[in-house]
Amino acid sequence: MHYEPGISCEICNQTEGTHTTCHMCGANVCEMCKAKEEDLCINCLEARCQICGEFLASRACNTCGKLVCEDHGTKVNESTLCDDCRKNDE
Amino acid sequence: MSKSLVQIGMDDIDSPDGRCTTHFASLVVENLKEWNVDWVDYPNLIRLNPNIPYRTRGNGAVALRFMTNKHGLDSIIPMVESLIQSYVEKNYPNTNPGVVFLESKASEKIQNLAELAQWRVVPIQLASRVIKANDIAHITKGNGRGLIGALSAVANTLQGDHTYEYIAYRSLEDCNGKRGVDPDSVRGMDKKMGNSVFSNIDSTTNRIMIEPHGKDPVLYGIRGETPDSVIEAAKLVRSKQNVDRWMVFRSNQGTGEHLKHQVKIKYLRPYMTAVVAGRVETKPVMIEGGHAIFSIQDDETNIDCAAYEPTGEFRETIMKLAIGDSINVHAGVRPASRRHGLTLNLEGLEVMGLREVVEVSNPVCPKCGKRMKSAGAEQGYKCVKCGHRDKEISKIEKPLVRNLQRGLYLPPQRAQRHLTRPYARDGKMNSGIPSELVPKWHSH
Repeated sequence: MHYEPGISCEICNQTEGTHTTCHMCGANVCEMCKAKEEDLCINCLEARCQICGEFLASRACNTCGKLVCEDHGTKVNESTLCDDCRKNDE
Repeated sequence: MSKSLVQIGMDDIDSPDGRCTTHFASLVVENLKEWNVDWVDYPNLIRLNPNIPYRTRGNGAVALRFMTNKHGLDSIIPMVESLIQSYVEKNYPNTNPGVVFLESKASEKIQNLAELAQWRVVPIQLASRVIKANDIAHITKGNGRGLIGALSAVANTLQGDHTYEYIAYRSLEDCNGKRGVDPDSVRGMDKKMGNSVFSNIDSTTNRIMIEPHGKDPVLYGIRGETPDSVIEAAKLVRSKQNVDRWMVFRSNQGTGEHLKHQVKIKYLRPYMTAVVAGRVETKPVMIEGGHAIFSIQDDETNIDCAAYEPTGEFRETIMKLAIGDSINVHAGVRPASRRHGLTLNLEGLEVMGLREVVEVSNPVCPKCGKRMKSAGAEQGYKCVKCGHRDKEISKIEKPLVRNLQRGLYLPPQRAQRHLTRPYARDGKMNSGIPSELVPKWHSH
């Protein structure tokens, strides 16, 4: 089926109220699904790299569970090690 | 005493170092014997969007459905809670179990969330709102992310296409050792069972696919079209480690359920799984690391596509694409980073139309047959052998035979998603909730 976001919130489907475009992913979201004080949807808020916050995470660190972007996580075989845990190891 | 329906959904009970949500479900099933429940379905193993960064392994959640005495749930909830306490790995901070208990059909809001979880990312906040609005009994630990999968599992009753998986488990004490599944026994099983089972062996490497490699309790899993076929197949598999318990699941694995949405490039969002229609814009190139990269465009915009090294020979198909070919890519959306923009990670390719590719060469001299050379801009061609000049003659265009046909191309089994509909399931479609269960569908 063809998907187009339309006017409803891309997260909760809500059509009422003020909607915002998330500056990270471009989603159209309602007030409830927007982060406080930022033009950011709650998806991107949860998925932001927990080291830099600048990019979205690509995976979780296998040691501490932190979500990290490609720049702040190293893939070792099938596992991911975040920069913080790597520094601790060193 | 009359009995009523109870549905339990559970997710995120595993960790990278072990444990498994399906294994936990088998423990709950065993404990429920004390409640004398009547099972209305096999445990459902629901795979969710495979492109979610939070997932531990295969992003699978489990739903249990049974009839029990009124007030039965009051004592079932503490049993599940105490089981979770003793089961969850306490050293890993990113295990966020969620269990939901429903005594009625899932509401429309839960169904919407479940549909979203198949192909998009769902925030914890949305799951919490749905739980609150529907006053759902639940257990949660950590940040509660497991509630998303738990809700999604109870809402997906697998009315449409589904498959089965027999999962054999080893004991938790055995989880640091080698499973030792005998490859010959798996090959023999695969041959004997034919098309009633699938995804047992990677056809290019001949490697067996039923044995995981982590420290989890799964010894092996056999996927098939019916409960009988997977149970019979399991009898033919041998392993060094003992089977401690086993259970049959009904599942959306192998159904392609995550790829229902065709999305324009401008509407793609990070972590989405979608079908994207477009034309090949740049010729595929193989970059360092063995990844095949190219870009596509639809009527409005363009995006990079990547087939990574683990997809093996699938990349050879990608490399055969030419600029202008019309394709549908089955893909997960990888978020942008400092090094690249939004990228489609390919998990399948449908070639819809092939553009004619021509080989262009200089004309042959009509007098001596030697290949001619350009005589300069708008000067036609000249023959270096006989000196003949010709202003009217033009380049020769010869259509090349394309070594690629229209159709669907998938990565080899070893690189497929749990949800990918494999070639072996072409034309197969199971539907409906089974009217009765086979007499023995779990070990305890």
